[in-house]
Amino acid sequence: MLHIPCPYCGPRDETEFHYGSEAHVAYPENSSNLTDEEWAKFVFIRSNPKGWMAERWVHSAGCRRWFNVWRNTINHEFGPSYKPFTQQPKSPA
Amino acid sequence: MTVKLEFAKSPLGGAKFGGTDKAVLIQEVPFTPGFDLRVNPDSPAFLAVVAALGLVLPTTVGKVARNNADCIVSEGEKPAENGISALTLGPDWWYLTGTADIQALLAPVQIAHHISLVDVSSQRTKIEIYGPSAKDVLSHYWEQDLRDEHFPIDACSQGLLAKAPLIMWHCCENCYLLFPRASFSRHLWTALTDASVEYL
Amino acid sequence: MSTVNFTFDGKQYSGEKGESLASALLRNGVVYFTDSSYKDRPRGVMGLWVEETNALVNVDSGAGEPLKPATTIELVEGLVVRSAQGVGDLPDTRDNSRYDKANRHVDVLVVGAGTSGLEAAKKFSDQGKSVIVMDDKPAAGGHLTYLGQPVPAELLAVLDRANVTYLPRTTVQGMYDQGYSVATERRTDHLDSNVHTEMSRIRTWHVRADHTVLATGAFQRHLVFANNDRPGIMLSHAAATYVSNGANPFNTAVVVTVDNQGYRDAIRLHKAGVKVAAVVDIRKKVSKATKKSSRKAIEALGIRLIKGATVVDTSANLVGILSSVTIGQAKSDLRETITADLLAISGGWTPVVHLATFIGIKPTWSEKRAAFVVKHHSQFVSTTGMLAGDFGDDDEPAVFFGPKLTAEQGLVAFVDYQRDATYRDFKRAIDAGMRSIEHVKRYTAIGTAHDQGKTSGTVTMGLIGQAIGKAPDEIGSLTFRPPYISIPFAALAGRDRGLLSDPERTTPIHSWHVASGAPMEDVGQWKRPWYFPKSGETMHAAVLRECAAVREGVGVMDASTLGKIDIQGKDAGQFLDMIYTNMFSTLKVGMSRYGLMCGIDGMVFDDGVTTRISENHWLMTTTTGGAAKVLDWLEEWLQTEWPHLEVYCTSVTEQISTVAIVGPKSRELMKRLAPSLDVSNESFAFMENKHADVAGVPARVARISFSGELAYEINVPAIYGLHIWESVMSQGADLNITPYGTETMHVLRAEKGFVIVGQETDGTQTPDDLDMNWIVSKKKDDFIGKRSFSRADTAREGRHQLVGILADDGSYVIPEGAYIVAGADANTPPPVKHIGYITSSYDSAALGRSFALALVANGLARKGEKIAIPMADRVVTGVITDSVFVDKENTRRDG
Ligand SMILES: [Zn+2]
Repeated sequence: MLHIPCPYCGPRDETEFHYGSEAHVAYPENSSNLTDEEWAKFVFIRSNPKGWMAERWVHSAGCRRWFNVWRNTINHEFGPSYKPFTQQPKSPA
Repeated sequence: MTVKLEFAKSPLGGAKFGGTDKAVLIQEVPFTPGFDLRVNPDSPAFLAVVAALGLVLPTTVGKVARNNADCIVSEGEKPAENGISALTLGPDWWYLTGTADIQALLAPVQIAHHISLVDVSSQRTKIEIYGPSAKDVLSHYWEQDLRDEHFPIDACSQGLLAKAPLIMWHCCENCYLLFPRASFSRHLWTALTDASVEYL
Repeated sequence: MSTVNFTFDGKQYSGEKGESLASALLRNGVVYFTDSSYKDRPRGVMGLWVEETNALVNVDSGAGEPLKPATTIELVEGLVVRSAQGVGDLPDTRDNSRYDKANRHVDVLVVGAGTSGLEAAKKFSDQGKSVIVMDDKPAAGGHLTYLGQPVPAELLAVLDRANVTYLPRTTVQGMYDQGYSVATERRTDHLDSNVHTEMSRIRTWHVRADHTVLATGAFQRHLVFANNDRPGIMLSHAAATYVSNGANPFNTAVVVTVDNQGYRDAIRLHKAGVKVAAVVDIRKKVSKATKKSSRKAIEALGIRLIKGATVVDTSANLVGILSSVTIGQAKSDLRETITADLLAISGGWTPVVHLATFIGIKPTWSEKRAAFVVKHHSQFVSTTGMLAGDFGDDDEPAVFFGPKLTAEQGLVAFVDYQRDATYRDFKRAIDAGMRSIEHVKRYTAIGTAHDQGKTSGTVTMGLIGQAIGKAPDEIGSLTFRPPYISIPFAALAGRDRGLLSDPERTTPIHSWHVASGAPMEDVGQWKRPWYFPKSGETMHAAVLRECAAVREGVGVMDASTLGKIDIQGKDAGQFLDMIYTNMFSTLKVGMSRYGLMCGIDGMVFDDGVTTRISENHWLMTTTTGGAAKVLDWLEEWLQTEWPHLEVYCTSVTEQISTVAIVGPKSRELMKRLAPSLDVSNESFAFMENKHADVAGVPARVARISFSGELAYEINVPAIYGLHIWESVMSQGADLNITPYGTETMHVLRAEKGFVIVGQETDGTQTPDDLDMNWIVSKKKDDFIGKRSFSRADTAREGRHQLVGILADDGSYVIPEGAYIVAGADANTPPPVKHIGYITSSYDSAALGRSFALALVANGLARKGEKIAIPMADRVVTGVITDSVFVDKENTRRDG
C-alpha cells in the first residue's frame, strides 16, 4: 500500500484516502454562459499526463481535508502535497 | 444531556475482556459524552471557544489538550469534575469529551459566532485498551506508526482499525482509548478480542 | 539434540529434532527421494534451502501444506510427509490454525542474518536506529553456515540488543515502493504440538522501514551436462554441509567445480570421511593465489585434481542412483569414468536478487564473479554482502555453465529440474530464434515451476550466452515477482477471514432483528433485516403479509442506516441550493424536503430528505450506501470551491437511530407513544418535524413517508434506538404492529414509483430521465449539474426514461435486469433491438398482481405500448404504464 502525504497528518496509508481527479480544475463562474464545448471541457476533459500530475485527494478516514499533491503517473511516486488556495510547489520533474 | 440509563443501551453493553492483571484489558466505557466541534482556528470564534472551555485547543492535527483523566485504569487518576479533553482531528475540527457540560459552556459562543458543535455521544462508543500488550494487539490492525516517539502520550489519530474508522488516543502509558463509530463497534470488538487471545 | 520420529512415504524414520527433513532422510540413508513430475526420473536432494528443485514433499501432519522443499522443513515429532513428484495436494482436512498479520514501523529493516546483514544491523544499531533483522532460516549465520564456519560471537550478540528485533524463520516475500515490505513468519511448525494453541501459525508482517538493507546472500548453482539429475548429484556446499553434520550416506565423491568453492567443499567432504576420488576443475590456469591455497590444500590431502575438465555424463545403478561419473577434457575427446555415489557440483554463486528486482532495480553482470549482482544505495534501499558482489574469499570462478552436448545428451541434461526442462528444449528455443530470457522462459517453461527459476534463471542466461556467443547480461535481465517463496493463501488472508473479512455494520436494534429470526440483507457493509418471517412462512408470503399490514394497519421499520449529515452555518441554505436540484433556502424551520443531487455531468448522484432544524442548522439524510460519498462531496465543494461559505458538515449517521411507523394506524400508535404530541393533520402536517418525549426519551418525530402511507419517523439518540423499537412493538401489539424489512420497503416504494438511487439509476440518469422534472428548480441561477441538462446528449430525444411495466400475466414476476423489446410480437426475427430493461420487479399485495419499474427509451411517450421480454424459456408480453401504481393522488399520506 502506498503512503500518501496528507499536508495536515503526514504520510498515511492509501486506504485512508479517496481520489478526486486532477487538481486546479475550477468550477466555472458563469456556467450558463459557456458553450457546450467549453462546458464539456470542464466536465470531461482532463490532461492525463504520463509523468508528474497535480491531483486532488481527500483524507476521508483522517482529517477529512481535501488537498493537492504531485504524483508521478508512471511509477506512483508522490511529490509534495499542498493545501487548496496555497502556492503550488514546482513539479518534481 | 444526561443519559436515561433505564432506556439506554450502549453498542457493546459495557463488554470487558482480559484484565488489568493480564497482558491486556479491553473494555467498553459506555455512554461517554462526545462532541464534534468545528471552528476556524484563525477566527475570533476560536478565541471565544477557548475562553468558554477554559482550555487551549491545540492547532496541530493529532495533538490532545486536556484537564482531566479519561481512562479508568490509569492509577491514582480519577476523572476530574468539569474535565474536558480536546482531540485535534483536523485543522478546524476537535473531538471534545469529558465530564464538563460542554454544550452549556459553548451555547453562548454558538449564538455569537460561526461554530458547529454536534453531540456525537451516540455516534461513537469508547473502548479502552490497556496493558503491556495493548500496543501489540493494536498493531495487528493499525497501519499507523505506534512507536512512542511517533505516537506519544496525548497524541491522537484517526484511521482504520480492522477496516473500521475510529479515533485513537494514546492517553497514558500502555493505555489507548478508541472511539469507533457505533455501527462498527461489534466488528471491532470481535477483531480486538481475536487478536488478544494470543497474549492472554 | 533430541531424537524424533517422522514418517516419509508411509515409512517410519527417526532423526534429530530441528534438522531439515532432507538432512534426516540422508541420515537414514535415503538418497532417492522422489520421481520428477513429467519424466519420472529418479531424483534426490540438490540443495540446502529454498533453492531446492527436486525434493518437494506434501506435508500431511499439522496444518498440512503442499509442495514444500524437504530442505526447509524442520523435523518435529510426528511429522508426516509424502514425496510430491512435483504435484502438490492438500490433506482433506480443515486447517484450524490461526493466521495473523502485524504492522511494524522501523528505522531499518535488514533482510538476511548472514555476516553482512549482521554487520549492517550493528552499524545502524550503533547509530541508535531501531532495526529489525528478518532471516528466513531458523538460525543466523547465512553463508557461514554453508561454509561450516561459526558466526563470530560479537556479531551474533547484535541480535540481542535492545534496539534490534530479530525474527528468524521470517521470509521477506515482497518489497514495494517507499520502504514497504511484506514478510511471513513461520511461528509454530517447528514447535512440538503442545504449544499455545492460540498462537498464529504464520504471521504476515507489513513493515514500513525508513531504510532497507538487502543482505540476501546467494545460492549455489548447478551445471548442465547429461544425466545431471540423478540421486547422489548435489550442489557441493549442500553435500559438504549435510555430510559434515553426520548425515552421510555416501562413500565416494567426485567434485566438479568452476571456482574455489568446490575445493573447500572437497576438503569438508574428505574430513567428514567421504573418499574424494577427484576434483574436476574446468579451469586449466588459475591465479597464483588459487594455486597456493585451494590447489595446494587438496594436494596435501592426496585428492586428485583434474584440470581443464568437467563432467559430461553420469551413470546410475539399477535403482537409479548415481554410480559413476564421466569426465571429459574441454579441449579433447578424452573421456574417463570414475566410480562415485556422490557428485558435488560447484557451478558458481547466484546472488538472491529477487527483492531488488521487485522494486525495479536491475542486476548487473559481473564477469569477475560470474554472477548477476546488485550494487545499490538509495534513500530507501541498499545492498550488501554477496548480493552486492562481495563474495569474501576470492573464488575466481570461470564463466561456465556446462559442456558442449550432443543432441542425445541434450535430452537428459536438465536446465530446470522441476519443469524437467532439458538442454534440448532450451536448444529448440534458441534454434527457433529466441534470444531474450523472457522468450526462452515462455517457450520452454524454464523458471516457471515452484522455485520460479531461483537457480535455473542465471544458468539459462549463461547457456543462451554460450550458445550465441554473448555475455549473460546481453541476453536480458533477471526479473522476479512476489512472493519470494510460495505461501498459503491463508497466511496472506491473515485475520481477514470469516466475520473479520469485511466489517459488518449494525444498528442499535440489530440484536432484536437477529433474535426475531429475520434473514439479513447486505446493504454495503450494513446488515439490514430483509423480512420477518413467521414460523414456516416463505419470503414471498412474508413480504405480501408485511406489505398488506403497512397499507391496511401499521408496520415498523428500522431506518437507522440512512446516512445523516449535520449541516450548520448561516450559508447552509445557499450551499444546499447549489448541492440539490431543488430549492432549500426557502424551507421553513421545522420542515423537511426531499432533494435530489446531481454530479456536474447532470446525472443523479444521491437523494434524501433534508430538514431545517433551526435557522442555520440543517440535517441531511443520504442513501444508506451514499453517506461517506456524499460527505466527501459536500466537503470538496466547501473546501476547494466555496471556502468563503460559513458551513460546517458533521457526520451523524450513527448518532441518530430512526424508527419508522407506517400505515393508516400509525397515528393511533404515535399518540400512544407520545401522549403530549398533537398528531392531528392540522397541527402536525406532512413533512413537518416535532420535538417530543417518545416512550420517555427526547425525540424528533418527522412526518416523512417512503411508502405513500401515513408515517412517522421517530429519531432518537442511538443509545435509545432499541428502547424505542421495543416500545413500538409493545404499544402496537393490539394494533397488530408488523415489523418489516428492506424487501417490503422496496415493494412499497416501487408501488408509488419512488426510485432508489443505485437501483433505478446507474450514474447515467438525469432527473428528467426519472420523470422527476418537478424537482428541478427553474428559479435558481445555478446548481450542480444544471448546465449539463442542456448538453446535446442529456437533452436529446430517445433517452431511457422511468416507466412502469405490467406483464400480461399478473402472476409472473419479471426478473430484474431483463431486457425489453418493442412490440408484443415475440416472433420478430433477430436481431431484435432492445428498448430498455427492468430495474425493479415485485409481486404486490395492494395490486393483487406483479408489477415492475423499467428504464425504456423514450418511455414516457410510449405509455400504453405493448412490449415483449424474451426469457430463456418463454417470451413475456406486457404493456408500458405510468411508474406510479398506488395512490396517484397522494391521498393516503395524511391517513
Ligand atoms: Zn489528513
